[in-house]
Amino acid sequence: MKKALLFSLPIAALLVFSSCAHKVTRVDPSEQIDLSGRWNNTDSRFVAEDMTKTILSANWITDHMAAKAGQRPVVIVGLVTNKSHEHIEAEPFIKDVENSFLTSQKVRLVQGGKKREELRAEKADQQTNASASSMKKFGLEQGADYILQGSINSIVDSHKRQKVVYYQVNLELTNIETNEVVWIGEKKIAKYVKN
Amino acid sequence: MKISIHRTLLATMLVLVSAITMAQTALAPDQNPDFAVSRTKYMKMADSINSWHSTTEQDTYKAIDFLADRAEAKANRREFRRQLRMERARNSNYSFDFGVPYYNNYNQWPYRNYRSYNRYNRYNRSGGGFYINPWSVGLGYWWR
Repeated sequence: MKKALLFSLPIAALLVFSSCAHKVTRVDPSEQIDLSGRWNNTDSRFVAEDMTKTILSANWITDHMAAKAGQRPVVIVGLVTNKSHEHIEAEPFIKDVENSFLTSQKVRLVQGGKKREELRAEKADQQTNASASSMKKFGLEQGADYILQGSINSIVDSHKRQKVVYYQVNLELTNIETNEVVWIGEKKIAKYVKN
Repeated sequence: MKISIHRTLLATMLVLVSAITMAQTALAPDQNPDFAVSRTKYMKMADSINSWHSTTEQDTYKAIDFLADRAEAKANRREFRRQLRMERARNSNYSFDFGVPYYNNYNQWPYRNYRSYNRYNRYNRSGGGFYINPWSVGLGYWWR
């Protein structure tokens, strides 16, 4: 009896501890996994899919090309304001929109923000360190025709353990010279969470 | 000869200056003639505003959410208790009378009731003894 207990105890302990062990598995990024009910990669993907589909099929591209003798529009990404109740980073879906611009070859993109600062700093460095033939000149940047800006809003309605969260993501494309809004993309996501 | 060269140079410079001035003041069709006012204003702030490009400004609000509020209250309580433990560890002079009235022999272990005149002594009751209501402890344990 004592011997059996002596043998079975470590095995039982092993079973118990192995079941509680930390486990990580790779999943498909397009798989829908909702854990907390907060904003997650599935929401970001839905927004990206919707925005890329509508922004490239809207009339603003053809209108611009007709007005500018067939030249493709140049877009810069501006500020996205998150006015929701959660911390949401817009970059994942904005990057998808940018990617669609480049792969479709309908729209040209220019760099903005800190990356542009870095480019200018590199250019400045080249003025004294690079060879004359490879040095890049200042004042030859491509000016953007349109700026892409956005906002994220949310409404929360909760009662005890139930909650309905509504997100609205808006992206707007505005003509920099005329301030005319040429495209608005909208994605609404509603979630019912029961704890 | 010399005078004529000077005159030609002067005339060329005048033409160049006037051409540059004309180019600067030439308005596009329907352009506001006072555009330079706005241009001067925004040229000064362009660098700071443009650093926002490609970023997300987090202007979030706190939603009314029963469960989230409860979780926050719980976290606050835990943090308070942790701070309390830290203070106790720092000040070994703390004693625990647990509010029980019949333990009168406060100066015997573990009910030592030394008066500790220090800045961490604000929880003390009845002259230096650290007071914890057992009901509060029980309720806190159940609620955590």
